[in-house]
Amino acid sequence: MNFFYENEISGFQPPCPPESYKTITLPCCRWVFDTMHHPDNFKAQADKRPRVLNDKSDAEKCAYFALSFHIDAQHSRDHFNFLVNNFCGRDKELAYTRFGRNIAVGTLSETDGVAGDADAYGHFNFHHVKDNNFISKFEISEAL
Amino acid sequence: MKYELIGVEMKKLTFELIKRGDLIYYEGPVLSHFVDEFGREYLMSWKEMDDEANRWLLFHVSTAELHKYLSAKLSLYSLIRKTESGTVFFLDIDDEAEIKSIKCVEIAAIPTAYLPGRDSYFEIEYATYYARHLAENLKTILKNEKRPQDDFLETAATQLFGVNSHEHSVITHNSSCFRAISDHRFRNLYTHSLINFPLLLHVHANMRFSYQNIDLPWYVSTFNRDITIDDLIDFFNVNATNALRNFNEAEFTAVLEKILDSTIIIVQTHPEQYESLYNSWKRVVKKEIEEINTIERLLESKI
Repeated sequence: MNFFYENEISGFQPPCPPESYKTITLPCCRWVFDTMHHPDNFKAQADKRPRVLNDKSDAEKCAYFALSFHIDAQHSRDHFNFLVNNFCGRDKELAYTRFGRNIAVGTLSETDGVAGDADAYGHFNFHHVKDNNFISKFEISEAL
Repeated sequence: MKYELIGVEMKKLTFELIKRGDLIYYEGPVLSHFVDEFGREYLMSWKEMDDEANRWLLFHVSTAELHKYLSAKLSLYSLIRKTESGTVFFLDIDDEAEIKSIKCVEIAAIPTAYLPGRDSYFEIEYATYYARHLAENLKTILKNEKRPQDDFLETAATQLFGVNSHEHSVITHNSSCFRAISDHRFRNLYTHSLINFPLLLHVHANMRFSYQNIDLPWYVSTFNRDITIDDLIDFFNVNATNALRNFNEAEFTAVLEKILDSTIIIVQTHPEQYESLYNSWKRVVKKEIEEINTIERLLESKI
């Protein structure tokens, strides 16, 4: 697969994406900003803020090049509400600027990249390919 | 940033922050764990971002409280509100990882929007592997490493510095210094309390009473003018540390004797305020000396 951040992750040890990651076909959700065309919607943290990689191990760096998804809207909402309540309990707007304002739903397919296992709260990491068409595959379903 | 902070602008932190790991992570750290050079623990919680920087709330936590938080027995809200110094730090850090601004803010002055919800309990399912590992480690540490002098010093510091916010900032600054001094001179945890309590008491007494009882080298330059909080911070951070480092053993013993003499004078002058703490301190020191003597006897018998 030709990953979106291929150049950045190619030399990592252990390999990135991790060998346990698999292709999937799965309806899922991702937090996005105001519109589906916002440039940061499908941008990894390491791309938005490259200096976060300083002093990180390759395994940690690898995670910074992954995108976060949830297996359904309920898990997506719960996770967002947990972060809001813990870190900006009295002003949701603060969370919107960092994490996104809406839930977008779509279906990841086998050609889109590889996914880690979903955790108990329905979150999983995904390493996406260059030729993705997430903007057309996903659409905003509800506000966070 | 959206919210303005009311507090004291600082050029830099007076302790070194060493990152241990992220506790909560979502495409980047949200809550991270740090220690300083003396092993004191801190949490840094993400608060806000703009085009220039991210704003983080940094606050000290005791090991026991951190463990309670990670065990979901204490909320993040309570952890922040209970911070022993009564103050927290806000750091604005830009994309180049440079600290653009540090503000020391009293807990009461934290913008409400920055406070977590009252039910902000840790949920292990959202936590990192590091957080789970830390929770286990803390359980072991708390079981094995409780030292009697830790309780005493914490009580002394709380009683001496537990009210006034300016004093809080002094203790925040100086606790590192006290530890540095005793680390440097004694290289033994057991002797921390020997030097810490008299120094704590001097700082406290000097903020309220006259300075005539003090006859120490690093006080000399300040004898003829009023001592401000900043002066205290300065000379404890710089002068006291340097002075003690530069003394030879004989000079150090003489200085220590003077510290103890003036400590006794302060206690005798204000018995209602200090005598109980002073007696507790004497008991701790006596116990530690006995323990050191026991170790020495054991060593001698083996050589």
